[in-house]
Amino acid sequence: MNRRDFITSTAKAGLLFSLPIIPNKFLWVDGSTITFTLLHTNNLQSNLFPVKNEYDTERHTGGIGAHKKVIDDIVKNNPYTLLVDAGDFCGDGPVFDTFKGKAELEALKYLGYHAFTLGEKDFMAGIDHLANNLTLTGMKPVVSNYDFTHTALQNCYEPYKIIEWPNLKIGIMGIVLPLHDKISIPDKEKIVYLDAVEQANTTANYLKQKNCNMIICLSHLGDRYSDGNLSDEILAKNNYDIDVIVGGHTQRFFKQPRIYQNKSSGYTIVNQAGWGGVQLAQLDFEIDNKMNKNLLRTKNFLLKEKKNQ
Amino acid sequence: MLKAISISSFTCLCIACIGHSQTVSTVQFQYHSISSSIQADSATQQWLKPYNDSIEKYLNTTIGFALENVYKGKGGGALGNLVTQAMLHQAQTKTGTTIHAAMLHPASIKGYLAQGNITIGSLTQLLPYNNQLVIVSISGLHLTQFIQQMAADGGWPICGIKYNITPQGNATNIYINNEPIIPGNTYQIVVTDYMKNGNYKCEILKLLPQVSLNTNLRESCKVYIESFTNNHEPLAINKVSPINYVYE
Repeated sequence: MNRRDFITSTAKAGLLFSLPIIPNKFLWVDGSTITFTLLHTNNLQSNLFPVKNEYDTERHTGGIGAHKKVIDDIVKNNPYTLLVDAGDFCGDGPVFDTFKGKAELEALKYLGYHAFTLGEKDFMAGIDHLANNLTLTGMKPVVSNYDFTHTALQNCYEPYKIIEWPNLKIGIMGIVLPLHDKISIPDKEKIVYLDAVEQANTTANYLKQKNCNMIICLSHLGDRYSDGNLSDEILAKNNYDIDVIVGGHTQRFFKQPRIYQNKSSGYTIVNQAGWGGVQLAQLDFEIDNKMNKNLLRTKNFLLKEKKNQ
Repeated sequence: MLKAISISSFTCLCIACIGHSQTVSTVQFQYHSISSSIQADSATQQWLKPYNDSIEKYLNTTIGFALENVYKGKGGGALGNLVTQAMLHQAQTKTGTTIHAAMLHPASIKGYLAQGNITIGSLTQLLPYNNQLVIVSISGLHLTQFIQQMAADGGWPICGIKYNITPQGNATNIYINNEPIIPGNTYQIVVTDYMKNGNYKCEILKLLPQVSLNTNLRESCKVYIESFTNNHEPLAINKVSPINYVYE
């Protein structure tokens, strides 16, 4: 099904969902719409290879091979596809023990990720090692709520990122949880945490001023907590301009996104895709030249990789 | 070829404000499971090969030999003894000071150590988490409270401390290095950062001063096992439990 057929059939089925209007200077030159696809993962945790099912050794899920196939297929059908990750690309196990995060970053690069943020596990090899890996691979995480000025990371990250296609501009920010009681590494006191909600609002406002059609927050806060700790839910309810929060940390397999009313009386969508690359989440939006953004549909791909014959 | 075999649909009725008007519309959420197994294409297989080869080589590295199967058991068992001894050994070696005890959350150990060659791979299956080791300074009062917490949970792997657990789950006759714990004294214990961060019944440790050892649990065990191998000795296993379950 091509893009036009998809939009038409979905619209006929009455499946349109209207998201808030975000006033901005729109870039459209005609009355058409664009279907924008957001593909996302979180907590990949060094799983370059399929995760073994401990109860059924014949079933393997996730892995770079399955990822690549699905991503390529989706991008081929819709070039307006953004691929992002919400942190913890590193995790416990032999891959991390062997490569200390470098192979994991090279995998993100190989798969064509447009943007990613950091999680606490990405610091496991230490600040200097992380900075070295980022430099060697040429990858830069998006982190909006940390000041790394006095560390080796100072030139290795971006506080925001804008990805552009013809007639479409997507603003991306990254929000990382308070790290200091989550990591045990030298010099951790040199990385300065900045208030997540405040920085998210400041960055989103900036991206709005830059005429971004959609603003996406890659968050490693965790979806929500019973003790009221800072979470995606709290950020969703206390922001003004974020359209989608791509979540991580709590490793939840969302079957459908959560939708919250935000501070500007609009809506912020929160979604999360489990862990280990087992699941790949897809959100399809229709964006038009009248400043409307509609969530057309969501998909969650449970990935399985076939063993070599 | 991708094939979706299971699609669960959820339809949600939503009201969205658009300007001054309201639109009632629905959105369909679909859950697609890709059932047909996907085989990595040749380019991806080629890309992965050097990583795969390096990891295989690393996992197959032999670091020691176990004369028999070593199991976790109640309160940690012989395997709990082995791992906490390794923690204590590494902490004392790295700091060059007296570390009084080592304690571990039981869920940090998975499965058992099989008789035969011990490889990095088998050790990784045994200790799958990259828990970092930290030294915590703790008062005798707080240490006793923490031991009571562990006793109420059935007893955790421990080294350097001996105690009884009553049928009611209370710790009694607690000794640290064969001496009673003195409430006003400060003790140095080695735990994982998971515990130090106050997770699962370790809240008491959260605010205490700590020093990072810059090593993790698995690496500590590797070094400990290799210390026997380097001396051409079999891995010593202590089967005597430091926890005595008292049945009245």
